[in-house]
Amino acid sequence: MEAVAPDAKALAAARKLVAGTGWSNDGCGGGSAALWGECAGSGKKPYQVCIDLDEPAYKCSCPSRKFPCKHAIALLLRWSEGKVAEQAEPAQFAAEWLKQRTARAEQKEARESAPRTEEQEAASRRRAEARAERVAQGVADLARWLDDQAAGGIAGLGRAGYGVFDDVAARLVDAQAPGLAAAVRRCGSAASSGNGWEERLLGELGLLRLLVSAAERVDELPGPLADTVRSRLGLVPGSDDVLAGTPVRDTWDVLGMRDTQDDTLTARAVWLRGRNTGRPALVLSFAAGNQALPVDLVPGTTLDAGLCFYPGALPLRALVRERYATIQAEEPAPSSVPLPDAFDELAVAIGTDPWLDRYPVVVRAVLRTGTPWRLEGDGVSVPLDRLSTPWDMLAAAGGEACPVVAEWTPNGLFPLAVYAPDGVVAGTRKAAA
Amino acid sequence: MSTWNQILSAALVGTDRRACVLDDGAGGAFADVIPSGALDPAELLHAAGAMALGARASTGSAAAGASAAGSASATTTAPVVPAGPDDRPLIPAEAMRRIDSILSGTKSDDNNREAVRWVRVAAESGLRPPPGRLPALLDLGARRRDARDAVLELGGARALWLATHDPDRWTWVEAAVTARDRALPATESLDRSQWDGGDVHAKVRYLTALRTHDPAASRDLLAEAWAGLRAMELALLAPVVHKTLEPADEEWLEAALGAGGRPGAGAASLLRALPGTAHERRMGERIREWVSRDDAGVLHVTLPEDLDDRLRRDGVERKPASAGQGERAWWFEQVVTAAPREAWSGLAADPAELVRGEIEPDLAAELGRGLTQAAVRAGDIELAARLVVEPRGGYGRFPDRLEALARALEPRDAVVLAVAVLRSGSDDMVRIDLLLDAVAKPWPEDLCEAVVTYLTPPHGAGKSWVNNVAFAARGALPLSYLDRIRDLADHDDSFRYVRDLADDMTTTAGIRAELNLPTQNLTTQSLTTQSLTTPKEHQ
Repeated sequence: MEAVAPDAKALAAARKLVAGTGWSNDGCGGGSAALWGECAGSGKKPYQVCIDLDEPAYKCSCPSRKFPCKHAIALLLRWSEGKVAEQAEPAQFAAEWLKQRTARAEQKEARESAPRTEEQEAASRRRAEARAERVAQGVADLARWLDDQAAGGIAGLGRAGYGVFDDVAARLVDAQAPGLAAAVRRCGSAASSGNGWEERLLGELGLLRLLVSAAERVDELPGPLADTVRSRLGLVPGSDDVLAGTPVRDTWDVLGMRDTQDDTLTARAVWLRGRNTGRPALVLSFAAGNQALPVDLVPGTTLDAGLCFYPGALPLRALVRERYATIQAEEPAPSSVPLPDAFDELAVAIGTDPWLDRYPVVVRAVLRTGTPWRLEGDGVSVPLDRLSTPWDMLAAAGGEACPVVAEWTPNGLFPLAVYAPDGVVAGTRKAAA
Repeated sequence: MSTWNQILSAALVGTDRRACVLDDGAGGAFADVIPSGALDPAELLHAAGAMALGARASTGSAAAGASAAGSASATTTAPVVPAGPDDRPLIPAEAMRRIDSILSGTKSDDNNREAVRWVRVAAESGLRPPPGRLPALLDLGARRRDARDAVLELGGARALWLATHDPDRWTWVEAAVTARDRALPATESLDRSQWDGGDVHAKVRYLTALRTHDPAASRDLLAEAWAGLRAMELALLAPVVHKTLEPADEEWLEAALGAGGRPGAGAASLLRALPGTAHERRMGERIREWVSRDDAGVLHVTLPEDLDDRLRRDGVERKPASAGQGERAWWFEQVVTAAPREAWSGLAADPAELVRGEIEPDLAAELGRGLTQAAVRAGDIELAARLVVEPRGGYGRFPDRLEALARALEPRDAVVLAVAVLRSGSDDMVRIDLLLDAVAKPWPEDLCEAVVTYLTPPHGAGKSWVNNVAFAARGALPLSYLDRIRDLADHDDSFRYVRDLADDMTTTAGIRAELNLPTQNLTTQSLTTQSLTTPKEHQ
């Protein structure tokens, strides 16, 4: 919630409004992910606030130039505290705003989905072919570079700094294979990661070489694995194509979220898990600069929704297609498993997608401080990422075993939420990518 | 050499220089993907990738050579010690929202002050914060010394447990707990080895017990040991002696003057707190020797050219404590401070008269300050109050001296002095707020009444510090005065700090209401306990 506020002052002002009695005619839902309310201001007419949580988009009739204004943030805060009741119908002013938005969206869609001329079709085919060719060239170049390193020895890479890897990565960006470029930069980080860098670098290079070999014969691979390989290269289908697939409807627990910052781009990863299917899902969103990230998926809540998954051998990344209802869960904590069981599941996942680099686990475990911190339970001890020092979760759990939501990465776990006896504590701080 | 190490060493120097030849079956679980025989560069990397994957997916038991950071391993260390239970109810979410908003903001002075106020009020509530907030509260204690007692009270056992996990970040916690335990009644053990072999805190405990149970033995001990004490020991032991001072102590203190240095100065300082001593009489003789009054009523002061051995032995310092004062004038002030009232009886019936009259050379400021401190020493607070507001009395130019005076006052005396100055109608020369800061919060009723009267219009002559007094009253005026202060602020908006005081008290009332604490008519009981635990008095 705090991340949405344009500055600390607006947030402080909003907090003052939350508890106030100035609210009326407020509600949420009404067949959409919308929030609305009227907040008494200094004038006679109350300010009318509407929020579309999907986008997110904000509208307020107040004259503030801050965006979103304090009324919108206060309404969000009220909603996050469960003070805004679900309504069957939006208030009239909200309904009008939503109608305008839908109309605009439809216009846009109409423009985009207008049947394309034959000429346009041909041009887009040519573009796709050209890209495939460039990617193939990039893959071949990378294979040669990797083999050169193995033949010549990787001992020097530890002292070479990021420059060597950045050059290779830049060529892969030119070859329109951003996924490979990112993987090469990861090798660069491994090479500069201090004690034991040799083993980490060799592991990364090896996995990258496996990816390159798979990419070289991607057409012979089984369909889902081929999709996985393509997505790791950076060839990701457009969201329209994904949304055109068959949605998976389930009761999804929002497990936790993690923001990562990369130069000017902030990426938000929200982890969901279906109650019936048991499937994990990852909803990604991005914001450049000071843009606001969407807040429609709140950790600790549960929703009935249809999700469309990006194709792959282990489909994780998904888009929310239909949102049917927010569910008031009886059991606040998602079901957890012993730590070894979670790693068994992870082993299966890695076996399915060897290049897997993030996966959610919900385990019953104890946090231990140290360098690095560890998560422990049932005779197993797993290190956290060295950037992760969740003091607030440690304090909340008090050294007892609690359900812990964590994101596994090859560099260690990131705890995202702890379900302590006094309530859930979710991480909020941003970490560098 | 394990398969992984074989692959690694080949990769480090390169397959051009060292071929990697694996035995049959060296791939183990990965035999399907790792060929035997000499590996070409691509095969070497494939093998490395496969083994790294195996490590990632393993939970330790089947660990291949690679030790990827993300893999699990069996626990080998002792189990984590859990924090004990805390049965206090949780602080309501409404109340937490206020402190969350303060703590998530900038670490500005204003925000820190707000946070300190909140934790102090919350510590009274007998509730506990959601434990996830404890790191932020412990950090507040690291930033603000005055929040520490409250943070420990509020955080309870869980906060102490948490602090042990990062003693570097929260060093203050251990220090504060030690200090708190030390403030507990001293042990009854009169084991001399505590004095001989113990650290300075053991010495303090031993002396405290001995002063109570066997004062005569304590005097023998001090007579023998005082001259050899180090500065740190003197600083901590002198207050123990001061609290239990009695006439019988004069003998060893008088002897200790001869030790010179810090022990001598410490002895002189203790002697000044004891009325009727030879030390005091010697100071009186000096006054009679140096000061005379001519027929015209002019006071003449003749000061010695040099600080002789006898003056030094009696603890008169050479260098003035504040810049802007001459050395000899400073000697005079110290002697006036330590001299008895009788020394002036031949010169004036009321010493305050002397400060108002003509004095040659002009030592009115030194005389005023010295007489004020002498009056405080003698317990004549009424006289001290009259002297402190004398326009020529000398506190106007040296507010630091006024602060020092205020800090040395017994809390009860500080109240009397502050009330007297507030009511005097002639406070131009005195930063009255410095006196007020020395009074434990919250203030007793008579002081509150005097302050409210002071803040009530008409302002003008004799009320030079309305804004300062209003500022000093923050957190000190009980909330039962809120309505009156609000009236004053509404009535006259020329004093910004009166308005701020009203807002500040309203905020405190809000905090208390959120914590389900009474906001009006605080009982005297709670006032007393609070004044006793105010850190100022411990210092």
